[in-house]
Amino acid sequence: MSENKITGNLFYFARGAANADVLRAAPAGKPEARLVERIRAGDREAFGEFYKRFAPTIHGIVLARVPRSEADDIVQNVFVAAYKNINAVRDPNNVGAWLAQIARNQSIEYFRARKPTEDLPEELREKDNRNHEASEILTIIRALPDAYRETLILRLVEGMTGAEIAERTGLTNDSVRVNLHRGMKMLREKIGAGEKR
Amino acid sequence: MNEDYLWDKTGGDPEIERLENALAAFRYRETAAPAVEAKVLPFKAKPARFQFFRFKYAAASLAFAALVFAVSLQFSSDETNVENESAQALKSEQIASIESGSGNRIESNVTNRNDSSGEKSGVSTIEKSNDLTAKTLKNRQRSSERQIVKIKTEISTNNRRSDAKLPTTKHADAPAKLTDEERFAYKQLMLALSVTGSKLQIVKDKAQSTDEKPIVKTAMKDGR
Repeated sequence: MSENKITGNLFYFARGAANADVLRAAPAGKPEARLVERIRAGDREAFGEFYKRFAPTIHGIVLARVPRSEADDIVQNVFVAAYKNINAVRDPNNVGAWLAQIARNQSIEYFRARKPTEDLPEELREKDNRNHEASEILTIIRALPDAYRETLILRLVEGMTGAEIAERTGLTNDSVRVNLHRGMKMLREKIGAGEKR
Repeated sequence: MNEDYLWDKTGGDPEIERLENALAAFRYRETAAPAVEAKVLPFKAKPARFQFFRFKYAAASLAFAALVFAVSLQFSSDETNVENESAQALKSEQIASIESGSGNRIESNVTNRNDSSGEKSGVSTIEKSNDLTAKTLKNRQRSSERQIVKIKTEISTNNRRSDAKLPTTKHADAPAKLTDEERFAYKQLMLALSVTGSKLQIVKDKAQSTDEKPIVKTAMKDGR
């Protein structure tokens, strides 16, 4: 799937406006909206700030789906695609949600395109054992429903607060609060069930 | 579980802190932004005139259908006029031929009678022959009138039959039979009208179905 196809389904964000000029004329309230405007104008420095602001969020969303070793590459691909299609953003104040969807699409594309994996060599398996507990917890979190696992990874792995998660992903505070509460409850039940074994 | 700590890290919760410490190994490590040499793609939003184009197409189809319908009406009215004129001409010819025929017969009889009577009959004979002639004339007039009425009824029944063959023509003076070419042209016009009507319906259905589609998915509003 090309980058344009991945973000192509997001173009309906911009269909509500009569033309692109209306999009550009939209009031930029949030800092990210101003960043979007500057990136559209070709400001590479603005893109750097944009990357720095959203990279932890995108990393968390990608990590919820793909192996850790692939997450960094996919994060880079997400931002390259976002840069090329920045003009398709309908609401610059809500660019985080748009970016998050690109990350999810790229994660899906990774599984479609990946080759059959080989077994890890012995020495690498030993290194993984140091983070054995963390890997197990991450595996349990990845098995949770989509809404819960993303929110929990952003909170527990990336260390973001609930308000930051809501701001960066375009969710409401209430949604994030519910996801955190229910996701944590489910995680505790599964960890408890795993310890009893 | 401390909900406040889960939300904004205020207070403390040992269980959550333990999970945070364990999962910190997977946290994002700051890297440089990718080198984006690719150009920012221009986005062409679909203008509103797309919808206008659809309605324009529908209006053009409607106009064409109206034109075809008007032409077919004109054609059928011309047919009717021609048929009426031909029927009238036929009737008048028939009536004229019948009347002239009976008149000639009457005249010839009168002429024959007059010739055969001669001078021997005298005045009375002449008067008698005149009486006879008048009676004969009257009888023959009556018979010719009956014949005319009979012919008129025949013409009217023929016209009714021709009306039944032409489904759309409903005129008081029914037209005569159409030629093959005229009938073929009429059928072609009716076919064109029906095709245009079905296409108009398709355009109308498409316009209605497109208007009903939601523009923005509510899922994207929630970031999903």
